[in-house]
Amino acid sequence: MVDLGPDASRRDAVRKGDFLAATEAAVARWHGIPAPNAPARRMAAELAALIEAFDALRGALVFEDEPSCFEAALRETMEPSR
Amino acid sequence: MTDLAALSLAEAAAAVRTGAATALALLEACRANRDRANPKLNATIWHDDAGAEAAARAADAAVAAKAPLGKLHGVPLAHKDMYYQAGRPCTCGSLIRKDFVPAVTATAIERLHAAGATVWGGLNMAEFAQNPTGHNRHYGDCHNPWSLAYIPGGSSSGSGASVAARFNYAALGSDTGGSIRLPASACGVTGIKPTQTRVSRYGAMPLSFSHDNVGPLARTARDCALLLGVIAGHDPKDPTSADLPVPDYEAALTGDLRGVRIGLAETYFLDGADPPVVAAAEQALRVLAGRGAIVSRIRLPLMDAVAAYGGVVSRVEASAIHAQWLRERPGDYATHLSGRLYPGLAIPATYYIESLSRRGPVLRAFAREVFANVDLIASPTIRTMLPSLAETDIDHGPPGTETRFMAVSANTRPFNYLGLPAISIPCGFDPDGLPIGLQLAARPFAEARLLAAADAYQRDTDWHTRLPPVLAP
Repeated sequence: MVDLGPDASRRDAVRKGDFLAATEAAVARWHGIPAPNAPARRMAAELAALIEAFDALRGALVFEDEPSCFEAALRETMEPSR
Repeated sequence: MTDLAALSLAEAAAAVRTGAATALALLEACRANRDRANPKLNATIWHDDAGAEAAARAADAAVAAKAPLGKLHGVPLAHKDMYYQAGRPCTCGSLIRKDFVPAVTATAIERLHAAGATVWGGLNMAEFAQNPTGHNRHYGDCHNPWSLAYIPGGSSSGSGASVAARFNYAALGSDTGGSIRLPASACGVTGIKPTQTRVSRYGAMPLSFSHDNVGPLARTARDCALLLGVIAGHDPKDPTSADLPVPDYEAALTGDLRGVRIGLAETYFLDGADPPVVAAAEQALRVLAGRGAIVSRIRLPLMDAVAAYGGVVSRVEASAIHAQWLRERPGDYATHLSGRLYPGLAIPATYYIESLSRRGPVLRAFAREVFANVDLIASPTIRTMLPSLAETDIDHGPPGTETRFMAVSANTRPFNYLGLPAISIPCGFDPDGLPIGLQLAARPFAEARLLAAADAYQRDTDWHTRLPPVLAP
């Protein structure tokens, strides 16, 4: 067990390291593709921010019309005169 | 003597139709500028001069024979090298497709052919249309005609650069996250991303089938109206294309903006924006107000959702398309591209489906709130001053270069998830002498409104007529 100590940024760094390792393992298992380079690893690590963004949206969005066809929405939101 | 390469697309087409110029003379004028500017710009991947000459002679023979002539009869064009033409190369800016010769022709190209236009070459582009900067490891980076060290914008980099450097009257680009609007902005030309489904994507290299759009870059809004009118409309070969009538876009260009409500987007679009860019956008709105537009500031809803969901859709779809090649030929991708594709493989299918299924409701809620108050949403196309190629070179730059790279398309990506039409028009220059673009977006299928506003603006300004230094003797 790693002793994280009181330093929050270090704790974050370790957590991101764990996240990246788990992400790489999942991609290798599901797709048979290793991380091709350092930028790939950096951008994969940023998926943590995507998870946070989705977390923040959960419960914040309430739509009257639930999952439906996008093409229909395009037509419904045209200018009324058209 | 008229410089034929300096004509707009509409003027060039009219010159051939009326006999004021031959198709061959147009081609030669463009070729002269290409020979002068392109060694510095690297805006082309291939060109077929013999084929282009033969096509021009055939076009001139048709004029002499008084044959029926299309709207673009005899006008030589080149397009982003991702539009399939049966029997001609189509590299998609990649090493992987270096020797690809398609067996079919894209519907957009077929419609241009039917209107009489000819094709002289394939233009440089980001590898598989996957960067906003114009870097290309395989065919060399494309350069900005206003200052060679700077990005020309991507992914339709050669489209923007060739039109700005007056060796191409107009070009097809493609736009999945800004790839028409960004090079239009960076190179000082006009480019429109139509409403999702407005133009057939048949025979266009796919990147993200939910977000991909086909559209033109040209020197003026009028030229974009002309070209869009030719390529838009339902296509049975692309069942996702909208079965709606195509308006007469050129007829909408009246110069009259009385009562048109334009809101400068404050939320998200100005976050971290550079003051000279904001000032140019604000000045552009004052010009539009002079034509009768009612200008205000507007806060946009749901931008967090648009950013999160849109990012998932683009990444997952692109990664799925490229998974096989990533597995078998990882070394044939540029570092920045395989680096960008890789994370998409890790996103759960449930996130992807959630993002897609929310798209309609998000659009409805966004449209209800925004378009009750404005007809057009305005913003800078690129919110910062233009970066250099070196500053955005992920392949050779330090960690963190990705941030600068991704910032280029921050203001264009939202309209791909929302599916809304958006146009970029030149509206000034930054302190480095690089063009600034104003982006206008509208309701679905309101391209005529966008083109009318852009055309009205260009009646009162001359940014779009200025010549880049790359053409200096």
